[in-house]
Amino acid sequence: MKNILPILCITMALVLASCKKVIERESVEIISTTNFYKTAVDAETGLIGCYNKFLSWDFYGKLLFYSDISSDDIQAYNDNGDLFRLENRTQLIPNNGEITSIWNGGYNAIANINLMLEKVALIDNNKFLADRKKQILAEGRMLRAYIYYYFTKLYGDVPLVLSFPTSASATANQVPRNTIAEVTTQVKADLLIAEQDLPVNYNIPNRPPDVNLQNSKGRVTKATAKALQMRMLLAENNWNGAAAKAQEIIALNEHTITNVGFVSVFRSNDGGQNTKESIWEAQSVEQPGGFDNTGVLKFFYTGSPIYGATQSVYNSYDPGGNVDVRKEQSMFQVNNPTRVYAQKYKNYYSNEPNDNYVIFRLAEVLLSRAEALNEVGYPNTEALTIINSIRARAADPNFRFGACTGIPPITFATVPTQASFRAFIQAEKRREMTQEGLRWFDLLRWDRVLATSVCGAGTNQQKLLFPIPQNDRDRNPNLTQNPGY
Amino acid sequence: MKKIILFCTLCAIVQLSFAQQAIRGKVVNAATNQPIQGASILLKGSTLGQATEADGSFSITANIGDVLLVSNVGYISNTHTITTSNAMVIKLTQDRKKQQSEVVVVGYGTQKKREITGAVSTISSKDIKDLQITSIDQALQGKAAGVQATNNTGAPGSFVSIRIRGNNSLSSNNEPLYVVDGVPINNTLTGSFQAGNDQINGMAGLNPNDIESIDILKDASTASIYGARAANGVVLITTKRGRPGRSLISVSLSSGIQSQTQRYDLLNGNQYAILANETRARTNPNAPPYYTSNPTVNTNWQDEIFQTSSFTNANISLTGGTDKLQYALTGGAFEQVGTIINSKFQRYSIRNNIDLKVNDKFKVGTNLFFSRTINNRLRNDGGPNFQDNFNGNNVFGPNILSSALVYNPTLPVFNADGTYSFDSITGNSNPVALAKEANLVSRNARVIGNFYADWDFAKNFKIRSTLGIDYRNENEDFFFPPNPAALGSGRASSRSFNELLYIFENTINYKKTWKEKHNFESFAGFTVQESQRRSGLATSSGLSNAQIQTVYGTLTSGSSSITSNGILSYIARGIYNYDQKYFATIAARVDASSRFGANNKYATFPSISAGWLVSDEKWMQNVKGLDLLKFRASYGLTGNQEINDFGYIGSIDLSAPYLGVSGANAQNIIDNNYAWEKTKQANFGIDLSILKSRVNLTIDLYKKTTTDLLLFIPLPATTGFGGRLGNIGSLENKGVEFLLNTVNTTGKVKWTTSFNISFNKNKVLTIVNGQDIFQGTFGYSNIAREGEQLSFFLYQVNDKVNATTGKMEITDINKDGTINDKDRSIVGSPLPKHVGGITNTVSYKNFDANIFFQWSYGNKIYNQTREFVEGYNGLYNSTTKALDRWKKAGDVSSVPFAGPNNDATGYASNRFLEDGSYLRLKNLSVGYNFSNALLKKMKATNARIALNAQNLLTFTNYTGYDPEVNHFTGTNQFNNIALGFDNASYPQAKTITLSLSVNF
Repeated sequence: MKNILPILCITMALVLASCKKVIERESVEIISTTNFYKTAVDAETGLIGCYNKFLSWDFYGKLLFYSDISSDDIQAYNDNGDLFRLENRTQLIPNNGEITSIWNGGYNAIANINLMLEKVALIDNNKFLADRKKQILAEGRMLRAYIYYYFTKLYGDVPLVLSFPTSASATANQVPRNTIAEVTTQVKADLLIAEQDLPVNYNIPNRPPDVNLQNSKGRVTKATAKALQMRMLLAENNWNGAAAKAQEIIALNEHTITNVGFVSVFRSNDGGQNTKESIWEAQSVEQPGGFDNTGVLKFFYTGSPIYGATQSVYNSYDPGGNVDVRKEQSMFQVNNPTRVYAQKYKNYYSNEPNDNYVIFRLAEVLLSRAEALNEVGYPNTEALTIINSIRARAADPNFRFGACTGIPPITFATVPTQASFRAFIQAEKRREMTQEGLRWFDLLRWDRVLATSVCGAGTNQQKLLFPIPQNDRDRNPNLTQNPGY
Repeated sequence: MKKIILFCTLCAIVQLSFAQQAIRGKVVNAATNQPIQGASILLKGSTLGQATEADGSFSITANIGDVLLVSNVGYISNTHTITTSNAMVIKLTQDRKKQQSEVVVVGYGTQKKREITGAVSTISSKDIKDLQITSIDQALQGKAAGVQATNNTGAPGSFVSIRIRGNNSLSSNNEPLYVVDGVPINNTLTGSFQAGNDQINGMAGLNPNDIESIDILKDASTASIYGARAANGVVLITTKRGRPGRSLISVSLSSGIQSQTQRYDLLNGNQYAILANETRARTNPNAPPYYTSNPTVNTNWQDEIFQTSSFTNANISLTGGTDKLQYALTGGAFEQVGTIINSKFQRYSIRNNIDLKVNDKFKVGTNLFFSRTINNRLRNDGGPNFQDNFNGNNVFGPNILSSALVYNPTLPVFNADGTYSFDSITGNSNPVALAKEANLVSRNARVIGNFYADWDFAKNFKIRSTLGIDYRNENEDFFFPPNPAALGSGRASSRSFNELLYIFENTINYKKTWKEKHNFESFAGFTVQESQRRSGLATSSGLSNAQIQTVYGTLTSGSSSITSNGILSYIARGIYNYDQKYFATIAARVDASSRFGANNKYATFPSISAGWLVSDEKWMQNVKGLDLLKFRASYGLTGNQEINDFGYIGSIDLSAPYLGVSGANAQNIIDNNYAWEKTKQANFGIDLSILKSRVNLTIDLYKKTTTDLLLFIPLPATTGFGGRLGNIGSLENKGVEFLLNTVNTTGKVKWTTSFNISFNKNKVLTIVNGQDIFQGTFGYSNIAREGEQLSFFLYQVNDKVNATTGKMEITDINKDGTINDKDRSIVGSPLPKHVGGITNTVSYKNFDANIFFQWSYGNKIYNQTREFVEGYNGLYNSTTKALDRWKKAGDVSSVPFAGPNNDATGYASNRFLEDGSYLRLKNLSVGYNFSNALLKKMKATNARIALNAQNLLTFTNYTGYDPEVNHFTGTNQFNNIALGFDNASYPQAKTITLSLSVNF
């Protein structure tokens, strides 16, 4: 009988050992971050989720459109909302809901990208076709670089989070801000890999099976990486570098503005969108409702908008009706009160699918090359040719509200000095690219005094940056505030 | 005394002429003359024996002159020579030393009541025999100190909320753990789809007639042996078992009627027509009035949907056995037709409890229960939250009772052509059509059972192995035929739910006494438990055919779910006493649960308790009249793991589309520290028994602090997420409970009283960043605020409407000139200050009576039913209060004008907050026990016929149908904080039954 206790104990131990699975279970109805990324399909699915954030109004829509509100192109009509503070920055406070929304949305997108990058890297290369794994990682890095780059422009120093959180504890996640230089270094590193590993296009045997789009648009390519690099070089006043980067994009021969009607770039219901000009276009068309209707349509004129274009951008075009199709396409003046409604992406018919949003297109690359070339040396004939090629597209005999006769080309007589050509190129870019989220960032590099004044900060250049959202500073004592807030 | 001698002499003579015969008698307490149930009667020199009935009676085949050995726990054993075959009364004297030696079931064993050091409430079968209850949990109402039981609705078979010592959780389950004969059963809430917030009561699958006793473990020292599931208390249900002795057949039948007599005073057809015309004139002056003459029809729609219904409960049981084999076989059939048309609950059940002594050292047994329930349910009881709106079933929408209140009284139920009338003025659904045509039936099968083996493998050692299961399979079909008078086109849905739990437990017991004074008993063991749950739902709508009642065509929704969880536990307990005067218990359970994060998979729930039986001290022996005085104290930790499976994981959602395909989107961060909510509880109790045990008082004081409440914790946005559910908050419940049992008279009239009252005060201690949590109607009517108990948080309305505009106005509490959220304040709590019950039992000769009152005091109810009926838009029918409405400028009235935009609703205000206190005559029963002469003719050992009235009287200021209404329960913040709502709830019925029980 005395032997029985040890026997019992051993039996119990054995039974218990086999019971381990009782408490270590996996759900069959919830996928977890720890066990999701296992196959090439998982990787593609994860990547799609990363792109999805670029259809989100709360994050990406606001990132683009709200920088326009800060600029002299767009204004908010309602004078007491959070939006209004973006262009009246003396009143902008760290509790502003809109700057919080962009911040939260951006880091949410980054977390998803970080998770994808970490997990896909662990999947065996053999599970992927050719160099698809490299491409997926490059696509993710491109998206992350884009967000971080614009965060440095909007908020200045920001925490550089490069991995998915491993702890749900608030204290473990109280990361400090990194300097703009640190973040920029990472952005450049990401872009270098993206530039290297991204395909020129997806018309290749190993293209993802889910892409059923004409020209496989909607995904970032080598040109996308180069285009963002180009923007960064411009912002650094590295004119040779920027001109060269623009030329590399042109030399890829993937994109052109020749025979691409201006209107067709923006309008799904005019047989357009996903044109040869487009470098990266957020594919709302494929996902009705994806690019949040309420958000975008609030922005673009639908009868009672809460924002509109400024008189100053309206006046920047050649006077007279139906002359410049870019003006007719982008804005619309009404009286009583006199307002200029923005309508570049307006959905004319409610039953139309959503318009895509063009994030990069060749016209910007061309204008950037012209700008850089003019800075390198005046007079530069190629720069003039580029400007005239852009201007030549301003005509449209078949424009829906009447024929647009177009605008005349210019000569060096029109822009007799480097400075006057510079001003002209800047104005041309404004006319061409208005409402596409570029103006504010251009003003930041062209004329910080003007930028300070148009964002309603008077002469206080500290206000060119958003404040760090108070909501997050409450949760993270290591987050310092920008000066001036 | 002389009479007895004479009687005995007579019997002795008679004995000569009678050989073996049925000897009848009764065992009573010598001091109180109260019958003793379960006393053992054994014929000396034989194995013949049996136990006495509830009324102390027994019947045994013997000869006059034979000797009976009579014994019972807590009494001095007695031998008794048979002198008569009839009406023999055997008196047993209580053993003072062993007084209060009733046995109490505690987790994994039993303990003598006098040795209990924790807080346990016991309800025995005889306490509830007269209650006409549908489910076991209803038996807890008013019968046990520290327990608040609330019938969520009066719908037959609906859920009963049980709160043991208050609400412990804000986001997780607050219901206790039920353990049936050692099997911790699942009590998952199901069935709110289509039926509002009314949920199917899993406990209604059990047969209350099978109960031997219910023991409620309230404090940490007794409950901690159930570890991570014990924070809300543990309810141990013990079913009837056989005893050695003659086979006993018990048959009981009760049958009666149920009704709902309370009505809202509504406008009659005439008054309604005037109201509708007035509204028309205000909103659309150019249109002709709705009514140009007095309507001829006047339908009271409440009368149309309420009915007097039947209640039937039949049970049969066979119990008995020998020394080696004991059995209890029971069968039950139950049918309760609801007081609203087309609702019904039926249950058919069987139980086999068998114990077999294989040899001196080995014993096996089984408990097996099977039931089938069929529940015809109604589209009612929906609250104004998202889920119920989605179901189109909401107090403000087409739910049956609220429809009946506002439906046009000038319409008949049926048109002349036999079709249902349709209210074209409002488009409201015909309430009778809603109730009668909707076919929502859930069918439930449940098996609860276990198999055990005991082995006394060495001296003082015993091993027990138990395998238990709980299986529940539920199917619910809904069909609503196309009907223009209600809901429009046809709808169908099919819902399935099944849950399987198995538990495997192994324990080893050790029991020893040293030097006669050191008594030690301990056990240790481990248990493994797994639970799997599968559910599915498919719905289709737009159906045009009234014949096909199943889901077909295009689905409007379809989903299924499979989930599971497992718990691995180690348990141990040591109980020691010295000389049966000083008691100590140490218990602990280590639980590992699949529901929690990797860092917190294991947790230990220890407890310690001690007791001192002061009255057994030598120096107390001279205190006159004192029978027992005991002090108890306990402290320990319990947990609440009743949260969603896999709540800790960082989940990925697959609905982030781009390029026409679905993408993966991380939803949250894995929380490896995710764990149970922990409740620390201190308990101090006194047991006092005086005047020869005629007055018994138990007082318990407790304080529970629950920490690590699961709440949404904000995280830095740089993580990518706003936050996640994590363990952060805390709250406390403290209170005091009294239980007083008295034997008032013992003569010809025997009168006993049992009184209990429980005070509990709930207080939220910490919530995330001290930020108030709002829930409830309009999103803020209820509040969880630090330093306060769960409360209502409301605007206040001015007494009178604006004399100029006739609109209802909100009071500018802070007088800042505007009405905004700063004008809201805490105005009472849905939690009662105290609850309790008082039961008086009187018997005289063969008659007995039982009078049971139960109450709730100090709780407020937000009467959303009245908000719907009195927040009138002028075209819906209203209560007669509308007769006082404002009509023209200058009128002074508290009722706004008829018509929309009168601001009668739009704010959750104190206008609809009412005192929900009530005192209810829960049960009144009068019984007659058949005389011996009659019993002899019937060949029965005893028989009783009784008339029972349930919910006969209710004293309350509440103006709704019934003050016992929705205290929703569930595992989310809405249900735990948005308490105290009357969402046109199915009211409690009055039930009058006649019951007959006979034992053979």
